Amino acid sequence: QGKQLFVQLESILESVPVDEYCFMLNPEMLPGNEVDESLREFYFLSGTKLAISFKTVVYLCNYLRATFNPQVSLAKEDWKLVNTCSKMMVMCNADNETAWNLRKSVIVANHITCQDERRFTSLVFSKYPKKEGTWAHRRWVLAQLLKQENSCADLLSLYKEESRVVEVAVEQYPRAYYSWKYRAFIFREFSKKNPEIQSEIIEFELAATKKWMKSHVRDYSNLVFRQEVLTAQAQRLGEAAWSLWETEMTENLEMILFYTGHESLWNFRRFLFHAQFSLRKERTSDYATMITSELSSVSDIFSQKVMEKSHEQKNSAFNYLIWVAHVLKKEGNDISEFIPILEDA
Amino acid sequence: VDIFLVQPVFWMSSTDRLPFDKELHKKYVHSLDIEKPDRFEYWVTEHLRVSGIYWGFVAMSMMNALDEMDLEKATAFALSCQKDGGGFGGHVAHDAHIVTTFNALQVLAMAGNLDKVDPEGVANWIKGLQNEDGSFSGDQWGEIDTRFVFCAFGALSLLKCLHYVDVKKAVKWLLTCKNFDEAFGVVPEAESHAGQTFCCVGALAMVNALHLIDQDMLAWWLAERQVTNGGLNGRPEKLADVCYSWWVLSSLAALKRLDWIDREALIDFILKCQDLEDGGISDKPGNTRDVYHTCFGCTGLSLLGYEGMAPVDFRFCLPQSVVDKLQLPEQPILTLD
Repeated sequence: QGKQLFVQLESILESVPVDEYCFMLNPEMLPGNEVDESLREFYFLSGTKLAISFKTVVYLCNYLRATFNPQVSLAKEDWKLVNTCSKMMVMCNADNETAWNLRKSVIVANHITCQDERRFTSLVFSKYPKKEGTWAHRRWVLAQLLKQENSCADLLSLYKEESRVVEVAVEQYPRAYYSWKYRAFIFREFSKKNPEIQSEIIEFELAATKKWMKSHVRDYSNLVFRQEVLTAQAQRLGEAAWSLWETEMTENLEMILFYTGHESLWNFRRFLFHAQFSLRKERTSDYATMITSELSSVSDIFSQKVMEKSHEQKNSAFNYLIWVAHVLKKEGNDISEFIPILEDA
Repeated sequence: VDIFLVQPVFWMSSTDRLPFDKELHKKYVHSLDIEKPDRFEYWVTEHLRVSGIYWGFVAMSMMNALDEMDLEKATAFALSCQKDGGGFGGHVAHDAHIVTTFNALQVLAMAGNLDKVDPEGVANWIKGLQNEDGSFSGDQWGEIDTRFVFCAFGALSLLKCLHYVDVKKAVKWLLTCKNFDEAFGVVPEAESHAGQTFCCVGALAMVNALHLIDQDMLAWWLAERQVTNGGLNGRPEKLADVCYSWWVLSSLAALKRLDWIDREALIDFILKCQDLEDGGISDKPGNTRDVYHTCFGCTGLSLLGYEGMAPVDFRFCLPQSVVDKLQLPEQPILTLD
């Protein structure tokens, strides 16, 4: 049984540009199955969409364990077999880093290209969008790709594609930590090593994270990535960085007042405050104005009688103010203005 | 610090508290001790088999029932995971990795069989994974993660071989992973995460370097992980999950600020995550149990002083009795030049 299922999957992967797959209990229940009738309880195929039954995974894994000896095949340089078997192993279990490592040998041997592997990891992401092992492997593949001399005429396009891969993955699993780790990796890798496209990458990500923020208000991972992008932008702007932070603070306050009680927005504000706090010695009067403005905005929130999620909003505002006071006190700054407001609250 | 935050929490009174069904949970852990290659679950967890044994053993230890496990069989399994280079994989068919290496040593420590390993072989393999900047890779392929520093320090501490690596450089790198909120991410400038924070705090605790961070601010961030149902989350605006009862709590224990969270509320939450029909603990009330959450639910209860649980070492996540027996050398206060 295992052998038959192996041969069938091998054939599908070789002849069909599958771009999405999943597991299910009973693929035979789905109409429009292009697979031979005798195999419909194991596989469902329609166009580029593939479903594999859970029991198929068990048969395949047992068959591979019984017949595929990685060390022997590597030694014989049987790249076709290593490629096929390792593909199936990671499709079944994307956490199988040992199988991903087998694929690195296939790539190093030039049996498949880095571009092939980008496509394949995107396929695996359709089923397993947040696996650390897959993202680590893709990072290795990208690093290999970038090392190649003729790697990519258009680095900016490549960057945008990679960024989009992360977006697609976190649409399925918001906050997926290793997906965001990968986005930060590509941001650093591309923007820092290619100054000629740095400003375009920064603009691209400022726009992307702002758009995402408006439809995923509670997604703090997005805001943390935005923090990194803003920091890079501030470095580019030098003297003019203050107005960048001012604008962000203003927009953040608008969001906070509209989307009440969201910890993510308030935590983002802490970052913005911290960024301005770091510039207090260079911009003394702007900084003083900011502090006065902050105290005023936050006390307004405390004095509001009724609003949606009132308790969460006031709690967040209170926590924010205490946090700010602690930061100031730690650096020996005066916090006497804060006390009456905190006491009232 | 004159003013610090105490997060208000809404919770049920203790009269509604569920009991901890020790016998049922022990039965659950025992039921895992069977190889089932005819099951889907088997194949998607094989790469973590040694870690599964570690979690099961810790859970049983917390319930004072480690002696019910087949320690010799586990020892043989853990040893079978070792590769020629010195590191351990999660299973004989899986490559060596620093995380599974640490887990394998933790299993051997609990089985009382750490001496069956040649410490030099393992220590040299781990040493080979330290990078120029002080960080550690998980394996030869180079992925970097603060968890790997924790695993490196943990494994080397158990083997009494910390001196094989550049501890100061590793600590310096760890501190670059500290964010403006004083919590830690997976690499520099990554999102603060309670799991990564535990790894960094644990690592710093192992080498006596906790004085190098702002403990109040970090404890604050950790305390903010407690949500209205009493449970702890890993990051802002995420749902509570039982495993964070360990990651957050052990960090607070290391910082000697366990009282910064509402302990009764957290105990209630963990107890609600029990599967009181089939045993085991799950990540959230009503979800499917697994050995990982069973382990950390038990260690969380232990740290909270819940009656009947054995003491746990907050640095190594091992039973205190096991760590005491190893008689690990005390580390001098670490200073950075």
